Formats: sequence, C-alpha cells, structure tokens
Amino acid sequence: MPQVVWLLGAIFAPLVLGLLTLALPRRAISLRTGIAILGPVAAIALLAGYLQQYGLNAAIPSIDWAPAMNLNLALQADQLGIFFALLVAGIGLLITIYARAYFGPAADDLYRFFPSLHLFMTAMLGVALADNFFLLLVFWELTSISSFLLIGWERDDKLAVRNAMQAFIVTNVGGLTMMGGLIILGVITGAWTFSGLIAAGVTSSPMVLVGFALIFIGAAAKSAQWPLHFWLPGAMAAPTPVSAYLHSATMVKAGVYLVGRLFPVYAGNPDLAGAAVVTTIGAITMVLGAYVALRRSDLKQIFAYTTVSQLGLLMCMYGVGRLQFHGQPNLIWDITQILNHAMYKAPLFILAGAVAHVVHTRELPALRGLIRLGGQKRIMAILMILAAYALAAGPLTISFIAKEFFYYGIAHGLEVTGHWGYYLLIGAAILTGAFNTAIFIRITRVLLGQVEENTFAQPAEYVAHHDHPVDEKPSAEDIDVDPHDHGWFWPSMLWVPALIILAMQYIGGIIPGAYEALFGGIERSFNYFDKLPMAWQAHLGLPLYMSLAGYALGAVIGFAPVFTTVIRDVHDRIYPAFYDLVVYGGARLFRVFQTGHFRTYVAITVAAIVALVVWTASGISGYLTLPEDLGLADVRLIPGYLVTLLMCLAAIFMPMVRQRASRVLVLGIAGTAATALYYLYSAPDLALTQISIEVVSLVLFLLVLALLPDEAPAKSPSRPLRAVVGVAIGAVMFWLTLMAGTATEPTRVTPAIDGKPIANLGEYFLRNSLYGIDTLAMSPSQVFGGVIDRGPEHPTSFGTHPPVPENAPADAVYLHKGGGGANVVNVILVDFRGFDTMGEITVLSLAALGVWTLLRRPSRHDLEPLEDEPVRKTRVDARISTLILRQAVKFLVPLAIVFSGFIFFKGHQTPGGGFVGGLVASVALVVFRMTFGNEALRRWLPLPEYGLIALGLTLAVSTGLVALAAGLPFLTSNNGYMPLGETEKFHWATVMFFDAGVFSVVVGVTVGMIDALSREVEK
Amino acid sequence: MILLTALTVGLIFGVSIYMLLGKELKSIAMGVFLLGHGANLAIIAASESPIGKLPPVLGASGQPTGAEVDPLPQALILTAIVIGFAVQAFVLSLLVLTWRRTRTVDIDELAGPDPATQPQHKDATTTRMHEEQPVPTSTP
Repeated sequence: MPQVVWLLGAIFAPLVLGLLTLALPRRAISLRTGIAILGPVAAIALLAGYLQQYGLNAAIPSIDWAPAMNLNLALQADQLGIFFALLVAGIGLLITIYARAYFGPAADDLYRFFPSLHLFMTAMLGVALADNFFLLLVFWELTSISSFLLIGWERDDKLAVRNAMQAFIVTNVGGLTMMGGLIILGVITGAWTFSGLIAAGVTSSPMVLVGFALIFIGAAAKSAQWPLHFWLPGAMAAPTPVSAYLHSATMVKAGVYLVGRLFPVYAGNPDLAGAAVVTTIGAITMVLGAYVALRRSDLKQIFAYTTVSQLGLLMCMYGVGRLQFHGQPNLIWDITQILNHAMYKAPLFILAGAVAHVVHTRELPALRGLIRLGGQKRIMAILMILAAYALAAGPLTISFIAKEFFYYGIAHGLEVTGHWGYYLLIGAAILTGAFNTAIFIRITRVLLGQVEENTFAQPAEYVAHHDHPVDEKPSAEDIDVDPHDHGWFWPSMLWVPALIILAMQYIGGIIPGAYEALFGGIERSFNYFDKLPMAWQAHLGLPLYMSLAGYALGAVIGFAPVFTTVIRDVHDRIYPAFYDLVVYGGARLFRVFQTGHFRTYVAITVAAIVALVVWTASGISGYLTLPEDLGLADVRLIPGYLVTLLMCLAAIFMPMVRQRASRVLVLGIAGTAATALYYLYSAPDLALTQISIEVVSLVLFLLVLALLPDEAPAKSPSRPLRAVVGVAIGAVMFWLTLMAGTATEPTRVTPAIDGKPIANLGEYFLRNSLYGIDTLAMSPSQVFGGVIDRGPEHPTSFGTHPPVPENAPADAVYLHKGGGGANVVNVILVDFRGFDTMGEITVLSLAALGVWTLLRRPSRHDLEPLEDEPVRKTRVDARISTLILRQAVKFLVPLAIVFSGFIFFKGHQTPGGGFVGGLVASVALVVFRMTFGNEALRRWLPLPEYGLIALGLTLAVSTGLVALAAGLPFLTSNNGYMPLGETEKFHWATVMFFDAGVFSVVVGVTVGMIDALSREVEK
Repeated sequence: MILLTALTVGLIFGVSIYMLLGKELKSIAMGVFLLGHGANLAIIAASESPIGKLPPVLGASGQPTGAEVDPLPQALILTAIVIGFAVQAFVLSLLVLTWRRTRTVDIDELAGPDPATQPQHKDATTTRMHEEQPVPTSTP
C-alpha cells in the first residue's frame, strides 16, 4: 500500500502543482514558475524516495477497484518504468525552466501553459508506471489530450488547430486500436497487467498475432512510424518547449516504450511471426525521416523529421533484437538509445527555440554565420553544432555507443540467420547515418558562415515566437513588443537547459564508466560487451565499417550540392484525404440513407431484418424441425381454422378499405379475432384483456377519425415494390414463428435456476407460482434475507404451504419464493417480474402524459382549416345520449365497477388481476362518459385521472419500498391466509397493493386519454 | 395450430409492412396497430400447440400437472396489449396534432421536397448537413 502511495504521489505531483498555479494571481510570474518547477522536482524526489525505500523491481501490491472487470490500480516500478519516469520528470524540470525563458514575462501564456504541461507530465509518468492495461490506456489517452491542447496552443491559428486535431486523431485512433489488442491479449492470457503478461507468456496463435498487430499499430501511431508519421512534423505548430519535450524526448517514445514493455513477451516466442514487419516499418521510417529532414529548411521541421527517423530506428531495433544471442535475447530494453535521443534532440529543439527567440527566424539558411554574431548567439551556435554532432552519432558521444548497439544487432542478425533482409537493413542504417551526418555538416557550415547565400532554397520567413508563417519580416517594433526578459538570468535559461543535457551526452560518451555507473543497472542490452565500448576502443568489424561508411557518405552529401531544395512530404496528403473521406463520404452516405422519408427507413430496416434472418438461417440446418404429423386434420383444430381465417381476412381487407368507419370496423374484427385466438391458446387473461382493450380502442378510433379528414384516393408509390417488401417480411416472420413454436434441442437451451435444470422459464414459473417448490426445504445455513418460516403448524407461520416433503430435515426452514397465487400469469406480472411491470405502468403513464400534452390546447402553430375542408360551425357533442342507453348505463356501470373489483381481487388465483380489472372498470367509465359527458364523469370519479395515475404509481413503488425497509430485495412479496369466520379464510398477498397500483394506473390512463380526445372532438 | 398461427403472423406482418410503406399517415398508423397484433401472435405461437392443454392456472396441489400451457408468453403479451393501446392513443394524438399544424396527412408532403428527385432545387429548405468548407490541407 505505501508503495502505491509513493508512486501515485510521484505521478500526480506535477498535475496538482500545475493546477495550483491557476489559483495564483496572473501577474505572479516568479511564484508561478517556482511552483511549476516544484512539480517535476517533487516527482523526482518521490521516485528517489521510493527507490531508496523499496528498490527496483519491488512487488507492488495493487489496489482492487473492480476486480471482476480487471480494473485495478496496479503500478510497477521496474527498470524500464523507473527509467522512463525519471526521464520524463528530469527533462520536464529543464523544460519548465526553459518555458519560462521562452515565453518571457508574458503572464497569459504561462498562466495557461504550466497546467497543460504538467497534465502531460502526470499522464506520461502514469504511462511509465502503470501495470494494469486499462490504467495505461487512460494515461495514454491523457497524453494525447494534453498533446492536443499544446499543439493547438495558438487557438486563433487555424493551421495549428488543424494540426492539433490531426495529431489527436492519429494517436487516438492508434490508442483505440491498441486497446483492442490489449484486450485480446488480456482475454487470451487472463493477465490484465504487463507484469502478469510477461510472467504468463503467450503461445502463438492467430489471435495472439492479431493482438500484437493491433498493439503495434497503436504504438506506431504514437511513435510516428511510417506511414502514420505525418502528424509529428505537423505537431511542430506547438511552442518549442512542447516540441522539445512531448514531440521528441518523451511522448513519442510512448509507442517505443510499449513495444519495449511487451518485448519480453514476444521475444520469448521465436515462432511468433511479425517481428519482420516491425523491423521493416521501422527501417522505412528511419530512412524516410532522415531523408526528408535533409530536405527541410525550418529547424524544427528538420529536427522533427530526424525524430521520426530515430523513432523508426528504435522500432527497427526491437524487431532485430528479437534474435537470441548467447541464449539471451539480443536486447531486453533499449534504454541507451532512448536516453541518447532525448539527450541530443531535446537540446536541438531547445536551441531552435532559443535561436528563433533572438534572431526571429528558424530558417536554417537565414542563420548563416550565427556564430560570428557573438554573445548568447555564439553560445547557441556552438551548442547547436555540438548537439548536431551527437545527432550524427560522432565518436565521444553516447549517441555513438547507442548506434553501435544497433549496428551490432544488425551484424549479429546477419551472422546468425544470413537472411538477405539484413543486407537491406545494413544499407538502410548506413543511409540513415549518412543523412544524419549530412545534416550535421550542413548545420555546421551554415552556422559558421561557410556557405554561399542561396545554397539552399529560399524559404518562407517565420516569426520566431508564434511558429507560423507571416508575410513580412518582423519589424523592429514587433521585436520590442516581443516579451523579452531583462537581466542575465532568464535569457541565459534559453540555452542553459540544453547545455546541461548536452553535458551529460558528452560526459557519458567520453567517460563510459560514468554513464554505466548511472544507467548500467537498468540497461540490460550489454550482452555483447563486458563493458561499454570506449569510443576509441570500437570493436573492429562490421559495425565500425558501417559507421565509417555512414560518415563518408554523409560527408559527400553534406558538402556536395545535392538534395538542397526543399521538398514536401507526400504523406501530408494522407490526413486531408482521410478527413475529406470521412466528412464528405459521411455526408453522401447520410443523404443516401437519411432521405427524410419514413418509407425509406421502413424499407431499409425491413430489408436488414430479412437479410439477417436469411443469412443466419442459410448457414444452419435443423433449426426448423416440423413434426411429421402436423395434425391439420384434427377436428379440434376447426375453431383454429375459423379464427385464423377471420384474422387473415381482416388483415387482407385492411389496406383495401378507405372509408374511416370501415377501417375501424376491420381493425375491430382483427382485434376480436385475436381475442378468440388467445382463447384457443388457453390464455383467458389475454382474451379478457384484448376484448376490453378492443372496446376502448374502438371508441378511441371513432373519436380520432372524426378529427381527421377522409383519405383522398391518393396513388401510393410503387405498389409492386411495397408488395415485394411485404411478402419478404411476411415469409421471414412466418418462418421465425414456425421455428419458435416447433424448435427442439439444441436450439432451445436448458436453463437452470438455483442450480436446478428446468425445461424452460415457463415451467419454473408454473412450479413456483403458488408454493415456491424449488426453494422449499433448505437448511438454516442457506436461509438469507430473513424470510424464515417454521412450518405450516407453527404459530408464527405465514405464507402458503405445500405438504411437507417426507425427507425434509427436522430443522428445515422454509424460504418462500412462491408467489402465493394460482393464476401463474398474474403472479409473473406482479411478483416474479414485478419490477418489469412497474416499468410498464410507468410507460403507460408517460403515454397518457404525452397525449394530454399534445392535445392540451390549440397552438399558434396550428394552421387554419383548408378551403375545401368542411368546417364545423357548431359545437359537436361526443355524447350518445338516448334514453334507453342512459337508463341502462345508470344501472350497468356501477355493476361493471363492482365486477371489475371482483376480477381484480380474484386475479391472483383465477384469471383476472389489475390489468384486466382496470380495463373492465375503464370500459364502464368510458361508456359512462360517452353517455353523460365530461362533467358527470368528473363528479363521479373520486380522483382526477392524473390523480389515479399518481396514486397507482405510488402504491406500486411503496409496495416495493416496504420490502426494502424490511431488509428484503425490492418488491419481495409475502402472502398467507386470513381467517374469515369459522371455516372460510381469505388468501392475502402483499402484491395485492402492487396490483391495485396497476389497476389505478390503467383506469387513469385509459379514461384520461379517451376523455382528452372526446373533449378535443367537442371543441 | 402452430402452422395456422405462423401463416397468420406472416400475413399480418406482410400486410402491415405494406401499409407502413404507404403514403398516407392514417394507413401507416393502421399498419402499426396491425403490426402489434402480429407481434403478439408471434409470441403466443412460441408456447407450443395449445391443443388439449389447460390455461396456466394451478389446481389445489399447487403443482403443475404438465398440461398447462407456457405462461411466460402470456405474461409478456398481456402488458404488450395494454401498452399497445397507450401507444395507439399516443400515435393518434400525434396524427391529430400533425393535421392541426400542417393540414396534411401525406408523408411525402410532410417530408418536404425529395432531394433525390429535385437535386437542382437549391432553394429547398431541406436541411443540408456538413456543408462546411474543407480545411486547409497544407502543413507548415
């Protein structure tokens, strides 16, 4: 636990301190900078404290958050992680200082900058130290987000914003791809942490390969590998401190880091294909980056492309490093190469920014003779030459050693495998070295002023501070406005960070012992050497010859007038093309599918359903197993023939009739036929419900159709097409229904509830509806929830009891899950699936609310009646008020209400219940309203309709809450007998209250809606 | 019985989709209601053949005799019927409102001019999405 706290402290210290700066007054620049500097310092201190306390590779207990979903706070602090974290925090410290010098005393910039920068620092530290896959992913995406914020620093600069988006989309799509890969590996191995994955190892299979491929795509996008590298040069729109930090030293290494993390996993799998792909893509990126860098004139662009090149080299190295050497992998984690790159590329960027700050251009040709300008400019020029020397991997630098590692890897690979690909790789490595050397030579020559003017193509001018092109050279006025610091300290901080980092580069290179003492403990790719090679001790052999060839070729290119014009990277077209494809392709697709015509949507949906069913069915035989004898000649089927015939006739006539009354009639026939069908299906509850609904529905239709015009005999579009779609869906539904009704094993799965297998859910409900047979006798230890019953004879007994099983243990207690009702359909509705029913009555209430809202009152949006439309001049009465009806209704309605109560109360045991009872009552009330009108209904109803709905919902919810209050699950029911006189007893159940709620809601909704429509007609 | 029901379900679905593809709102609404019947029947058909079976109401023993039909589809359909009615009322209210506001029940008129048939009609008030300018495609 304390270990996690140390590391979490280190991860979040920068963010917390960064956010803290927001609380400061805008003008408090010194204090702001001070607190910002404290961020990385605290991170380093906490990391150091952790190492002091626990050392490397200590097992860190993870904190479980949602273990079932593999979401744990698992961190790790191994060589690679600690190294990366220290690199991030260390460079971060220098960059924070540099940023203060770079932005000058501009309060607004720094106010915004430090929190964004420190957000990135935290994210990157998290990436370095996370062990859990998902934890890593969260930090990973955070780096993308902070990178997005920082690239689009100039919020008014459209180009910068566009480049920020480009970087974000590329790295983010990569991140999602990577997530897929990590999930695949996690599912296959069951290890959702990197340490667990390395421990578990993988056996190669196609799926594992897919997982690795996806992860590699994500890593390649983040680490700017060809062909996704284009976002990195675009990211140079960011302020230079960001370029130096995120886009060269740290964030872009995240992909490399991840490949390094997983390296032990796939390195242990010699049969795992794909390393060749990593090598190839790395090699292409390496050469391409170096070549384009040579053809650029803007310093940041040059360095961005050399960064691309270096990242390619790192990837390539991991591909090569897979080979075994003396029984060990060629390399474990390539720390030297990563560190080395940070130690010359960060200074190069820092100096590019510094130079731009003092001479207001970053164009290389414009820096001609910078060294002769004296003062700070001379220091900057010298430092830049030194850094470029490291870029060229000249001897006496760590860069040289790092490159030797790489060359040794290639040489070794050639030696072991003899594969022709290694010759290509040697060529690529030499070429890359040559281009880097050429860049060094050119930079040096320009800075020393040894080249003619116009040696390189004349580029556009750049404004130093804002990193985007302007038309004119900055005037003296601009320079004055430019926020420059006075004094000596902050101006020198423009180059001092570069000096510090470069010093390490050279000290490490000249005295390898010092480097080894510092980093030897965590660098493990020393398999070739007992000790680091001294620069002058370079082992003779292929690696050295490769270096020399690179220098020689580079010198030729550097001095010769070749490759001097500026070119554009063709890959810059990828993102715009992709963007256009998505936006315009999407718009086109949108217009194809979103025609705004209901018909299109129906047709597409239906076509999709038909296609899916046909596709599914075509592959599987045996779904449809019709019994040999369909029994169509059975006399008992005669009612079935009649009823289905009636239903079919109603359906066929439906589209044919146009007159509104006939339509209602046909729909009514269909409903009645459905009622009869339910009866034939032994579903009395359904038949009762359907017939009641049919009555109300008829009234509803008559009312509404009175409000609408008769249909003009319009010619409907493409009758044959409609018919084809109709026939297709009809056939599919016929097949599906037949299949559902006749399916046998194996299409019908055998479910098990409480460990007991049952034929289907219906059987479970049947068995447990009354007594809860499946849960009857249980030993006391198994009882939960507190519903304990001691048998039918016990005084405290409640609930209904089946005969006690003979083999029941003496101390058996009875846990009742039975609903205490014999009408299984009603028990399912109010008990087993009571929660579901609660949702359904809520839907009913909402529908009623909708109707009331829609019909509330005429709106100003209403249009005047059409000219040829018969306008009703007089107030229409929706009442049907004949004397006989009035007299009959007076007697029948109270009777019907009583009857509905009977249906409701008996509903738990015999067909009926809240729904049916409510509907019967509604029918009575609707008839009453049709006879006596709205006012009479109001007088008669105890509550307004919305009151009934509210009462019903409250009742239903409270029934559930009572159970909750008793410590039982929501809506748990109880039931038992209440003596009525001497011999009779009343079987009560708590669900009755729930059912009463249903009753109330149904009455409220039905009567309310009919009444609303009637009033509409009466207007 | 199952074959008969399946045929009926197929026919109902065919007819209701045919009506849904129509032009006039009222017949579309009718199609929706007919579809409700079809869906309910399709569900009840899943409870095997009812010939010679009993309703799912238990006797005194409290145990199923094996002759009861499957109660689950019935429970599902029961609420579906009632909700179906509420939806009918809602749909019809929408219809009334549509008529009041637009004085048309023809869905083609409601949809406005068809962009597919009138591609040249620039003044059409149909919403055109994503008509924004392309972003600049160059990098610094």
